[in-house]
Amino acid sequence: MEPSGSSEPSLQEKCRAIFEGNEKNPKLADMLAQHQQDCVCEGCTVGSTSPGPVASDEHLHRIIISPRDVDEEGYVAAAPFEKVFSSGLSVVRSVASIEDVERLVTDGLWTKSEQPLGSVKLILTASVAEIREKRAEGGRPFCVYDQTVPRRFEAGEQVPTHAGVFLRLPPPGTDDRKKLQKDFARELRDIFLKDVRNSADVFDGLLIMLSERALKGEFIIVE
Amino acid sequence: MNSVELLMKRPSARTGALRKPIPASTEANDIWSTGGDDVDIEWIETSPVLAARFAEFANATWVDADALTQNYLTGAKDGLVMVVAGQNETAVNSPRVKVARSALEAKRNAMAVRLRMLRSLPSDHDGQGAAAPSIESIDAALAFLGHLVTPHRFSVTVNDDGYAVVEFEDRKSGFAADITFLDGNGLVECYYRPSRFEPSDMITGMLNDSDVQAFLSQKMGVVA
Repeated sequence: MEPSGSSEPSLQEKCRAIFEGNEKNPKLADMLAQHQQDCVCEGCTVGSTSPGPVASDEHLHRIIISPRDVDEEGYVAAAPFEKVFSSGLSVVRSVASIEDVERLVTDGLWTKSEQPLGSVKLILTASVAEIREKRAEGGRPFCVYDQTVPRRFEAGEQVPTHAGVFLRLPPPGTDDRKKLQKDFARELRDIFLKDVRNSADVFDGLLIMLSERALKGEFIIVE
Repeated sequence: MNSVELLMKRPSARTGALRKPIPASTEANDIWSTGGDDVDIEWIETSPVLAARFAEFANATWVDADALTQNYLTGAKDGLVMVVAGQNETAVNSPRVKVARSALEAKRNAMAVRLRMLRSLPSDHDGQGAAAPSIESIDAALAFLGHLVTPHRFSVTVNDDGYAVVEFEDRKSGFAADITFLDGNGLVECYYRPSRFEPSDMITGMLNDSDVQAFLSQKMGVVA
């Protein structure tokens, strides 16, 4: 009989172990799908400083900063949504405080001197319920986790209200897997494109103010 | 035989006559505007179908996706008819043709500028581990853009692997497609979704392979 106080890690510990240090790992979506079936980690607090699992009545904001994500005519590129089947689609939870949004966006606005200066281009918003309600052969394609991410220059500090959307289908070895993954990434983009706003229309003008600071050169990394 | 004659002589089973004919003469790679008039082309269902069917006629002809409704090509949005015909065509004598052509050229130029801008992105430019853009891939995409003819809205970006991607889209119908330039030697990955309700397709190969060319022209409605 198994003694009580077994050293077997809990589900939460197992889930956290997959995320830990893998924020930029392009295999993270596969690792999650392989080790944790059916989005089971959604019920755990996987982010070390997260306020708790992402609830289905929350919304997710995809704050578009990179010039590669949107063109001058406002066309939102599809390719960045393919992160959903690699390192995860990075989003901000609607429960985020204004301070969290400022931290996350500021980190995204820092550029190297040879890069175009950053600015917030658009904000796309999606309902967690709509993402979770999607169904496909094999079950739910998308999982939403309360994945926290480290601050860019503040060692040890995390953004607690960051979240990650991950694709778990189709499993490795499926015929035409890449094509199906691209289909799902397009579907996720379609959901986010239902609610597109300018930076002036959200977060009380914070994003406009941060963009202005960035365009003045305040967030250039000196190497 | 010019492309317009070909269209009128080769109706499919579902083809009705063009009640308002396309101007009687065109030239290769020319673009013709509906000029604000409605044109009834009864057999059009969606733009990808149109693209595929015209491609069957050997001379590919496309209609601007935004100008299409269920059965009509309307000129309300100053829609364009792009005629990409092979031989023996003459010019359309319409000032709108030049406007349309310059619009496509302006778009191609704007996308080339954008690709060059994206080339300056460093590795991890997104803070999530994206690779620095591949110069070879971007150069291949730039060469492709220089000859691109398509009725679809298009844009360019780079993916997480640093490869240049040309994307095409019609949000109304759900048409979506992209071409990823996997190296500087013409290796491409092409993805195509005709609508939100139809299965997608994908092909990987050299840009000048006949299979890839057929995929581009017949499915994606792209000529380059």
